[in-house]
Amino acid sequence: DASCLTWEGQQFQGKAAIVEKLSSLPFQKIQHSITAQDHQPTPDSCIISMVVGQLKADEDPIMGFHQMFLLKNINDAWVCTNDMFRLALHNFG
Amino acid sequence: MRRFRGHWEDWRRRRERSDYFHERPGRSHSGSGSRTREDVVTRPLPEQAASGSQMAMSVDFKTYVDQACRAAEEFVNIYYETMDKRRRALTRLYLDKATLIWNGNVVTGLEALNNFFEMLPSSEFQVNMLDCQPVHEQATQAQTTVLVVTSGTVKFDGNKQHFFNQTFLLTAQSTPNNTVWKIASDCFRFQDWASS
Repeated sequence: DASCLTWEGQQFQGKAAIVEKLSSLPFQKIQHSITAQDHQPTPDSCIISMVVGQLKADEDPIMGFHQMFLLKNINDAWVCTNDMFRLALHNFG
Repeated sequence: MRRFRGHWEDWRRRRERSDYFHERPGRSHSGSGSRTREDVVTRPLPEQAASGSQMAMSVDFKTYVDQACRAAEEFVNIYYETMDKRRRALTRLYLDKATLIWNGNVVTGLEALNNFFEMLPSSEFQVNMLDCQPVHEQATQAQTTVLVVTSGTVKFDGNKQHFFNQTFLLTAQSTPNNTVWKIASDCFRFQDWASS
């Protein structure tokens, strides 16, 4: 319940808030294509994962995304304690 | 981008606020001069509340988050400036047993990191976005830890410019007077889409 999610810059803490955010995402269907993923153990026996890829929500154009997870082994199950998601929006002009 | 238009507007507003994340060559580094430039030190973080009401805990957590994120921003500025301008000092920001995955290549330990950064061509980084979260002590056996994700563009000498994403796991080494942050885990990737 101490897990954190940062979704496009918005911060959510705790299972309830996170589930509410993920359930309220405004699309009916979504497809992901993973371009690359990296995983490494951390000094304190967690796993840190980074995923880069593309997604398509409903009929919107394909967009790049980037997501990072921190996983912790609690009672033989892997739990996500931290999650950060960003779309790759690059129009800085 | 019908569905994500709301987020695009939010993003643009945030982007305007966070202009100071840009690293411009020649810009002086903002930090006090009394410490070695490569040490990232901050004021000690507040003690986590051991018990107490839900409200008190969330107020403490918010302060904790704010302080952790400020440390993260300062760290990121120093990291990329060091990477661009004082490359040889970069490994001072890593723990001895830190691991870096660079575009899928694993580099572990200070000696390997030193060799790696020496071999890497000179760089010009521009950070456009930064996210950070503190990691709850439940996950890290009471060691203060902050996760930072950055994205932006980089140009390595002799190569074309790339978009990049980088994730850091920063761990605090606290003394009574200050907190020194070091990288425990690092993951760096260019954003090269499968289709391009």
